[in-house]
Amino acid sequence: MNLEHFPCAVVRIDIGAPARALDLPEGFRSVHVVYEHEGVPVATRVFTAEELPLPPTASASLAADAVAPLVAASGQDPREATPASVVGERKVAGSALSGSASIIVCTRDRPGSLERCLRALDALETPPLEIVVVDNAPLDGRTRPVVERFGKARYVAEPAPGLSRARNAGIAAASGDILAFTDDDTEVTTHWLAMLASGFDDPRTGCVTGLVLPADLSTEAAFRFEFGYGGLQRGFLPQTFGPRFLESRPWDAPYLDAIGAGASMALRRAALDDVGPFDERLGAGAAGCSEDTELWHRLLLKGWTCRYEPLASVFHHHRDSADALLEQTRSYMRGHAVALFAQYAQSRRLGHLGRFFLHLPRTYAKAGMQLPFGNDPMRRKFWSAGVAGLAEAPFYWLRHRSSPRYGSRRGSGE
Amino acid sequence: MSGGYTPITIELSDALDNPDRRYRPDAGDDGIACTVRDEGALVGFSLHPSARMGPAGLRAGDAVDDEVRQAAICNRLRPRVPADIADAHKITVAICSRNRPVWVARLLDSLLPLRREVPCEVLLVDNAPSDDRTKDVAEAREGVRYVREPKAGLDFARNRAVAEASGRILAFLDDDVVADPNYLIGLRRAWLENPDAGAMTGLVMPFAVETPAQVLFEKRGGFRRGFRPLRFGARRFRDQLHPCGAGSFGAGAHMSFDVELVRALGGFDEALDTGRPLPGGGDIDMFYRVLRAGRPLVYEPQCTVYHEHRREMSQLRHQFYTWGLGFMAYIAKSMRTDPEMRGPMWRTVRWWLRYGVRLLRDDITPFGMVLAEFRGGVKGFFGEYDRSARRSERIRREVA
Repeated sequence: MNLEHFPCAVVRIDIGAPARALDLPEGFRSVHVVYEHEGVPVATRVFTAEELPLPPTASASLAADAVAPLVAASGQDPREATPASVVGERKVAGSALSGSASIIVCTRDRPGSLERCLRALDALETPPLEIVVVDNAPLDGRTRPVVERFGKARYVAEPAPGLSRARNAGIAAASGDILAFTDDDTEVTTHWLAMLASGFDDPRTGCVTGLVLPADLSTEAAFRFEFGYGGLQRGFLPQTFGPRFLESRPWDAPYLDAIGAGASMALRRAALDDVGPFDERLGAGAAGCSEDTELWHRLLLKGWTCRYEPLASVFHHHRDSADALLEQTRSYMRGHAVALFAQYAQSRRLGHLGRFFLHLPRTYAKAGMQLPFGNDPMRRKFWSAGVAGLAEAPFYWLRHRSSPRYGSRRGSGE
Repeated sequence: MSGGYTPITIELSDALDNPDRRYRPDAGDDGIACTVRDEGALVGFSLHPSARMGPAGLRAGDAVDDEVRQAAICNRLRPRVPADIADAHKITVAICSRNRPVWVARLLDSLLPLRREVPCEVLLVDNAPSDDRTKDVAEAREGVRYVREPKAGLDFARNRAVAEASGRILAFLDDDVVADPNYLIGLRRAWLENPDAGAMTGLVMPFAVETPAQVLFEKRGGFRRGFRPLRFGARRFRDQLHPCGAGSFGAGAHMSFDVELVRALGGFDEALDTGRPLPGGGDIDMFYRVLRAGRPLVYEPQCTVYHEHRREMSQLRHQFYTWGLGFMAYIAKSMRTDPEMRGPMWRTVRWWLRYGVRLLRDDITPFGMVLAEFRGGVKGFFGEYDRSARRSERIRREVA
């Protein structure tokens, strides 16, 4: 991991406004620019300190270049298509549907972060049917007063720990036909819900995911997460994943992470009724993560499609300490591997086991051989954390595979 | 005639409104070389071999792929440059030539009429000519400043232009190009848009794709760097080779500079690009030095010239050889003059070797061409710069 461009500032530029020069903020060595139209991110680009400042005219020209792929992918007539027309079209498609959407936010002992999240949800242009906040196994009572400050939000307690349990409690308490999820460490953009809902205009769509952008890259942990580990950005081209996506790699598991991230997604209730809710053996607080990808896997198995809608974006506050990121790496690899076992149990496709027994060991062996040559002391730690997570996975699976997948407990909502 | 591609130009609007219209190659040709324009702006170029199109020919809609759409959208979204600040920068266009009066005449005839819209100085540097034919070409036309540079070598001629230019922007054109009507407007636009830039390159399209050598050159991507603007600084995010792989910045056939910067940098390196039998590489060396001096380099697709590619395979093979020679001579030189960048330079050498292997694997480039480039590269890396420096010193002494 190369840190020569760290720290990085996140700068949002409204492409509709008169062009301004782009300067390097003091104390930073690169800038992650988010180009927006009416608050909807439409492109990103990273400039190094050596590429700045940009004169206003150059900045405007490069913005036009940056948004071109998204506008071209819309399928609109290239003679007339603009970011405004593309954003407008999706907004119209989604506004009608977002009124029947419930937003579910699961939180645990992070009242400050939750408040920031709820403030952004409060500013949504198209209001949801309701906002359900699930307080997951809290240590104290700080969360409830935060929720009560926002009129639209409803408080639900889920005493049993685990993100999957909390999300399932939220699903049980919510009444919408569309269930939109975000995490308590995000800030949604103003058209987030409408853009997510726009993906449901096709009746086969079971899930719509959105773009997850970094809110801040000034800490080393966040910078590493975004650029060293791939972050959560999935680009600005909309995609549809159908059941055939599962067969894309016969000797390997399908790369379900390409579909998106649980921090920005919406599910159709009918699809959930069809395939069942989140697997409570997975996710933060249980195996570690991948409760989202495992659910997408079940949707695809049953013939539903998943759509990636880049205009539905949230800003995500990454972990800001190295220890938290190491812990995340470990639990991510553990959760990913446990999900592979669960997916194999569900589909009996050997690719899932192939990924665990062949591809992941090979990847880590290769990376391990490179370790002595790198000059980044953290690399060894991340490598060890990943290997530890993988090693724990079979034991976790053996211990928990016969635990109930869901429905072990019901939320005590009010 | 055989082996050539029939040139056609499709207007984007026509292709969108009548996507099923068909275009067929001329009798005897092997395919179509299709240029796409959007209300004058160049937004795409693609080669369509007959074997892939089938007997019905090229479908207009197939010429408009995602890249063309992106280029058209990008171009339409870009801000218009106000025309009333036309005199913000005085421009000098320098043509360095040696004993090719016919080509110089062709270039001048495409360039001079464009001055009605964007005034500029046109400087013709006649490099160690064996007769007065080039001078006659200049004198037969109005408003061409003729200068004779007795020291034979492209970078001697370029440095003469640097010394003589009266403009703030000095643009170079090789004598084997023809200017598009957008050339001066695009040049002005790029410099108005990027007033802080140190160097600028532009789109180089093929003048003709008539012989197998020219087809091969274009299949490899030609000199084109795309139809969207680019802007480079001294560092690029997640690009460990930058700015050493300076070949991706454009071509010396069509480049321009802030002349004060070039003077401050000491001009072009006369040991590079001194013409046969000396290596090339003077252009990429200058691009590299501009970027290392902290000044941006920009690429403007809407500033276009047409380049007459080598017609014969043997000429093309020699060109591959000189690319290898010049590029590696530049690498060897930069490793010495810029020790801070030795790491990235070595990585670039490694990249260059891998790129050679890739060329061997693709089914486009003949083995002989790759071998020629490799031979040139090895020779260029090992001592060519010093040999060349001695030769250019001799030329300097002979003339003095």
